[in-house]
Amino acid sequence: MNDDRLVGLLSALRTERMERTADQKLRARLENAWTVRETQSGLGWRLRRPVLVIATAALVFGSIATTLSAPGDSALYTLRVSIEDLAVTLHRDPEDRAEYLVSLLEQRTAEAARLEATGNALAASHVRDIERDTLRMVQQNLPVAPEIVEPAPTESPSPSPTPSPSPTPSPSPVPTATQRPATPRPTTAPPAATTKPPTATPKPTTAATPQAVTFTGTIKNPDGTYATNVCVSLSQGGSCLQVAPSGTFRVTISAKIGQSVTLYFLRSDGIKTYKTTITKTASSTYVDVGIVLLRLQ
Amino acid sequence: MTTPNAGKNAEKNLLDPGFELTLRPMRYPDFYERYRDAIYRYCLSRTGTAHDAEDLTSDVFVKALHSIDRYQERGLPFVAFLYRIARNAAIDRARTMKQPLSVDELVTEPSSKQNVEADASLAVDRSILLSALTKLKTEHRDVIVMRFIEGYSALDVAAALGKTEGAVRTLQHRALERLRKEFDDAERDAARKVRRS
Repeated sequence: MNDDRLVGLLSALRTERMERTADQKLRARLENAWTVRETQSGLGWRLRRPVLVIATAALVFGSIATTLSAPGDSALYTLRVSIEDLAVTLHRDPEDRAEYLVSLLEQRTAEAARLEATGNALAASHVRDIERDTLRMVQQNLPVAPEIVEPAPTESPSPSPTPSPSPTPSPSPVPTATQRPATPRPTTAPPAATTKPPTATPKPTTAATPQAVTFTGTIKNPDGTYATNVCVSLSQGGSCLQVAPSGTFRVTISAKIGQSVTLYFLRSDGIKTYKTTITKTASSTYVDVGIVLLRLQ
Repeated sequence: MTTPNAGKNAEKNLLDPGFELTLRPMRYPDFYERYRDAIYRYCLSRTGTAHDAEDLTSDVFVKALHSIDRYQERGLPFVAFLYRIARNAAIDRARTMKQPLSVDELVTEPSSKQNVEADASLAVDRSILLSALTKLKTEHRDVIVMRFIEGYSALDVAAALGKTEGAVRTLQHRALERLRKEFDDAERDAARKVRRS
């Protein structure tokens, strides 16, 4: 085989054509493909995907918004609570987390109250259950105020401090204590409870349960100006619950109602250190301590 | 056949002197009308049989239709775009083919009854040539097809393949050498088979 013959044979292939039937089949296939392509390149077709994406996004966001604003008597409320509880983990900062939990607790308390007001007892009880769980979470996450062991106000007039169940009459005469001779309780009966029945205890349950208690107030320097960047803590040198930026503070802690809480305030400008402490009784869940005056150390 | 773009544009393109290696993207059905046979011949050189070549050509043009928007003028002519699609389609097809091409399958019936012997000889040569072409390396085959079957100049082939003219000439020399060898081998095999039968 020489080159000329080879090239000649190759040139002969130039006359090769597709068969008519194959050509017609291919034209029909191309025509169909072209029609599809033209349809898909139309404005409506092009807009289909973005419209679908937008509609899906709107549906998702709408569902989330509906869920997150579901009232307590809605079937979505449990889902809302789950989402809100999950969101707690997103708050890394303990202070943020505590604030978030307290706001949740307030919301849920308000929701329960609203449902009770409208007479929806079933939903209200459900929300109350959730509220109790939230309270538990709040208590777990809030800084706990240390119990201050106050020096017991030992009554000086009691000469016999040992609580022996002696049948001897105590110095405090109990005029009507004639009943129950068989159970001589060591604790002396309340002096003023002479006329009241023994079941009338002054809020024993609230005093024993820790709650979220918020302390607020104003911090001032010795010269009367508002103190900035003051560290508020629950112990001497303890971690700051809040660094009050502009002369006011607001800290939420877990404390029992009636418990004495000491707050420590510290500010240092690099040269001088100002501090003070204040002890207040958590008389309710919101305590305004008023003005706190820092002292130069 | 009526197509949305048939008409003025098609006529204009067909009259365009630089049409074959135009850098402009072409529209359906212009490119089909113009390159159908060239692509078919290229496919024939890849598959060796008319039936497979038709199927491959069909795939090539459908793919070209779908991807024509992606053709961008980067100095490569439009025909190179089509050849590239054909090359890739042929590779895809070769992967799915189970058996290699046999020379026996390529022997076709002579078309003319008047000069039966000459026609038969030509048909056998054609079949052997197609068989030999299928055995070439892709770049060798591309050069052979474009230079000797389609008749493009070395410069055009260089533009289409993105090579220099010198490189195309070198490739052409080696490709011809290789094709001659393959042809001779295939011819010997065919003769052996004829003697045996």
